[in-house]
Amino acid sequence: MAASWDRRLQRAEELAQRWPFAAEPLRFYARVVRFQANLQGALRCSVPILASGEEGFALRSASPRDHRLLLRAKFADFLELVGEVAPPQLASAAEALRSTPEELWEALWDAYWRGQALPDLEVEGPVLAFFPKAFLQPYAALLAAGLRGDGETEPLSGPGVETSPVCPLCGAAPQVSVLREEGHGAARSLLCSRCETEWRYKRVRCVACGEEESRQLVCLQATEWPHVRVSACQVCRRYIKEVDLTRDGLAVPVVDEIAAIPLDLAAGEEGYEKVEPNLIGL
Amino acid sequence: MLCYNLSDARSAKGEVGLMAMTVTRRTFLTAGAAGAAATLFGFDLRPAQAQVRTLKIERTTETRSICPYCSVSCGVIIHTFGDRSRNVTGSVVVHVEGDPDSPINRGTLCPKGAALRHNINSEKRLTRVLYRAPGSDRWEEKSWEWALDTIARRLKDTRDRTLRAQDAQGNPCNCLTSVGVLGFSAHDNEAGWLANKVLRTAFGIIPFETQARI
Repeated sequence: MAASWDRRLQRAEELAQRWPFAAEPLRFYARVVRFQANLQGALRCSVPILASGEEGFALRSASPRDHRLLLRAKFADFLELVGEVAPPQLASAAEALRSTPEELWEALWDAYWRGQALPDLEVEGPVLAFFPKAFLQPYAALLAAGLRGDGETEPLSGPGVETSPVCPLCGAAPQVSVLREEGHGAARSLLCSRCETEWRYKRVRCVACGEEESRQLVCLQATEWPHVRVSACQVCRRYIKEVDLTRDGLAVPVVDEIAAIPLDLAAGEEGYEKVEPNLIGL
Repeated sequence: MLCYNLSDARSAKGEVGLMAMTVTRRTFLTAGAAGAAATLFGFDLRPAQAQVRTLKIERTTETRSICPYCSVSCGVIIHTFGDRSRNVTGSVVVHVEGDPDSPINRGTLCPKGAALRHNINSEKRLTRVLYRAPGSDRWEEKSWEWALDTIARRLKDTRDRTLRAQDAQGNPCNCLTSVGVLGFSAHDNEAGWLANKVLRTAFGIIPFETQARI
């Protein structure tokens, strides 16, 4: 279950003070989260509740185009914010997008929403991908919460879910892996990078290629972060960061995942590539 | 709780994974003039890189297994520290936890299972072949080859000497009741099938007990 916006902000501030090397990215992330919280509040009355039980990715039966008038105005605000608070490369990309026709914004949202290649907007792909992702997360999370029903926070489970490398509701890759106490062990779930839905996933299985041979799956861990580790696969050379809430119950997975930057760098030095970059581009 | 059948989701695996957000190490890091690095977004990574140089990265693996004790056959996950490549010494089991994905125990363990790590790492754990000859008061260390050859020889000799080919009415039965088989908790369907095929059908062994339930 995704943490509340307030909890994320609080944790980002805590970790920024504890780990100075992550302060700049975390403070940027906090600004993005504040925007996301306000956006979700503005959308709350306008977004319909989708019918459940549809085949495939149920969230794709809706589209950001359905709310284009509301979202266009907010996207302009978002670009302005990023232009002001982001580091140079991201800020200049935001400036470039502000001068792009609004119809192309919709094409960008739509491509991201459907998991297709993003349109060529003269901004580097990974930088461009930040914009629809950060902007549409609150919208997608609202749709997903409505689809699941009020108060339902347990990770999704069911036939095929525990081996699915993508979100059962929207089809996006996972952002972070989460361990929660179950029995005398810890159950694993994956948190969607788009709609923040959590779904249960097998403990010993690569989140990218599905490898289950334990000798091929390694965890990289540092004593400085006992509750965060890199879960990597030696077959496909991909990794995801895993936040163990049995070791730190106060951790907020999306925030702690961002803060443990040195683990990303260590994984990169070993030749692993991340399954899904986070909101600071790592 | 909503449950979904993911036949469509699985087919779309590649589509999502290959979208333009895929970032390689080369694309998300840009080298600065003095070897400094920043993300493509422009965040300065030099402080974090300094931190990396001080880190002691530990490599662990997690292996799914079965608790060896009783017939419940609980699933466990064994955490091994160090390079677990085969025949590499120096790796050590650092933690054993219940397997939350096991339908048998869903992560729970009894006190014996929860203490499994101490059994694995115990200095008293038997890890080599020891043989005590009849009448002897000493254990001798033997090779695995010697042990297997000796077991095969004695099984054959015992069978030749004690096999009951016919029952009291003269019906063929091929019963070998002087040898017994004890199974174990990790004895799964395939091992059970093989044991029955070889030991009961081929050898005729009747006393056959296994606690396996998996």
